[in-house]
Amino acid sequence: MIKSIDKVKKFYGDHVKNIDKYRSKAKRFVFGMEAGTGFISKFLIYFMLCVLGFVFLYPVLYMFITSIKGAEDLLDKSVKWIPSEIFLAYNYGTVISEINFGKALYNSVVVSVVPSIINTVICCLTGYGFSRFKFPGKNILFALLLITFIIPKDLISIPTFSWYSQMKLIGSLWTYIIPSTFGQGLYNVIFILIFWSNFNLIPKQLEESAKIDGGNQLTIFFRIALPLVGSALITVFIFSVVWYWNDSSTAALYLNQAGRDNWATLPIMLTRYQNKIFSLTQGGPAMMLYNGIKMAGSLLNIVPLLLLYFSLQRYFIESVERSGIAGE
Amino acid sequence: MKKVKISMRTREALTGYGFIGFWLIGFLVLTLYPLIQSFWLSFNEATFFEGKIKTSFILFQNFKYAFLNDTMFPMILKDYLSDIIINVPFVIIVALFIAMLLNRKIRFRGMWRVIFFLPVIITSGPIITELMDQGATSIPMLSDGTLTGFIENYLPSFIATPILVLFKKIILMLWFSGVPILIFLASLQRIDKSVYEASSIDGASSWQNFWKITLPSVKGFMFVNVVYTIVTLSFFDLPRQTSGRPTILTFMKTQAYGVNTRGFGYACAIGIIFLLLIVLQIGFYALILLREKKTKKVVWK
Repeated sequence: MIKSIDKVKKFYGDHVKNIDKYRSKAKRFVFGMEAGTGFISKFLIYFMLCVLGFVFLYPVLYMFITSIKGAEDLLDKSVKWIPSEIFLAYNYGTVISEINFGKALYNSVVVSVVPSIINTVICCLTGYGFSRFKFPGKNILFALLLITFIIPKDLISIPTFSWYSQMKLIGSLWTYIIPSTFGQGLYNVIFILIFWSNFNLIPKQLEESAKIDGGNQLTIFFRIALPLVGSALITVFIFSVVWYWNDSSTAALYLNQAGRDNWATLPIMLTRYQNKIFSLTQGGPAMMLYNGIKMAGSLLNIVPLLLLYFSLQRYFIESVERSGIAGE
Repeated sequence: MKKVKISMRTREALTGYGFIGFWLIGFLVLTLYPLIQSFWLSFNEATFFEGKIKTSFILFQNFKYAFLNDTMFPMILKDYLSDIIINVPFVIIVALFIAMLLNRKIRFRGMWRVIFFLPVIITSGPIITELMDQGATSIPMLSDGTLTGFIENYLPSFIATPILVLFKKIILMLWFSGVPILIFLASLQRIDKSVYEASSIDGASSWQNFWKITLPSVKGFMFVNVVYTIVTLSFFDLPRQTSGRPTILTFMKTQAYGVNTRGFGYACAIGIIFLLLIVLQIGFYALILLREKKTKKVVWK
């Protein structure tokens, strides 16, 4: 008899224990062991991430949808995401012939790749110099290097523009090659910083032992230091390509002067087309009819960048994180 | 022949100069010298003709003209300042917020980072202009509706206008937070997790943890981000501001290279004013963010 009561007690006791266990499990699931691990906060985090992610991607989606819309859908405000008719071929066809796509693409590739190769080499050398050697005035020079980041390049380019036009270089690629060769290209401060921080991460002992073995400085640089910053080389190169690709103000100043536009890049052609439509419609509501074509042009402009980014995103993201630490 | 003996130190210095040589020449010839020349031009009436600059010294006339006679420039300046004052803190706060979200244990962190960094790759003047013209830089819910009406009616105009402008291009501002997000993320990951654990055991809430641990340890990075954001927002080559007036840089370039304008001297004066404004802003943020407190400082590794 007593035994059976014990059994019953034990049975219910186990149940109670289990219920407690489930309850605490449920509680832990909803609220979490510590702050931020429960279901509610997890849900909130993913919800906010999704909302923000959508907001970040919204313009790109908008660009794509608008670029396949026809005139009717563009005027009809109720048509937002699903066009009634797809004008893909017409819009893209028009813009490809309007902005002379093939030539503009070739120009963009040359104008961004050539200075980028030079930038990569020169910034690598400069970064190595600042990272490895002691020389008088080094700290001042490094500070000056950082300060150049905040000087508007259009202020500098007023005198340099007059020099280049004296040398009759306006409209030629030399206006890009000369600043790059001397480490003053677009965003070169950031590139030098990236190399500087990457070289700082390499232990000095490696090079010192090579020095004892009798290697001269250049051999040490090429044989030991350079192979260790391979990813920084790729990073700087692709960043440089992207920024030159997107840059329209330097290009408009140096490459797009009247009569000499053999180097008109994609962004320049796009701006020209925008201006053409603007003057054609005099900025009136009729401009809306061209939105689809203009967006097709914008999208064509960024498609090469998107391909580059999604295939090499590892380099973009890691490098910024690392150079951010260096920039402290 | 006598071999010249060079000490180890001199040799190292020479090699160092050798490595930075290209940059050094470039800095002196292509940055410092033009900067000095621009500075000099800003005190001159300068016209550009057939590749030559003709100057006549007029002291502060250009600066005086910019503020007292020019009808356009003060308005442009006002637009710029009211924009940047609200935009920089907005970008920084949003970036820190997103970085803190990404710093939690979440799935597909790589994918989120790819999304939030994407705008850095694709933003360029023409693209942004097109998006702004077509109203795609704003969330439809924010830009038209009751909220904007409420703000317009019930807030004083000097607060309401910048907020409405911000709403109009809120996505654009979010897009500028790509690099700051990654820098914040990297700095957050360097904070030792055990610090949070210790403070939680002592009964600190996550709110307190944020103000007492997270914020002080990312302050230095915040300054880096602020400088980056000020520079990218100010120098971004948009032809027009949201108000429809040109940006300072566009105005400067039309003055320099346009027809029937005041020429290089005036453009340089505007550029110098712009540079001073940026220096002032950075100095202001440096005062706030880099001020050392006298109290005992805890250093995290």
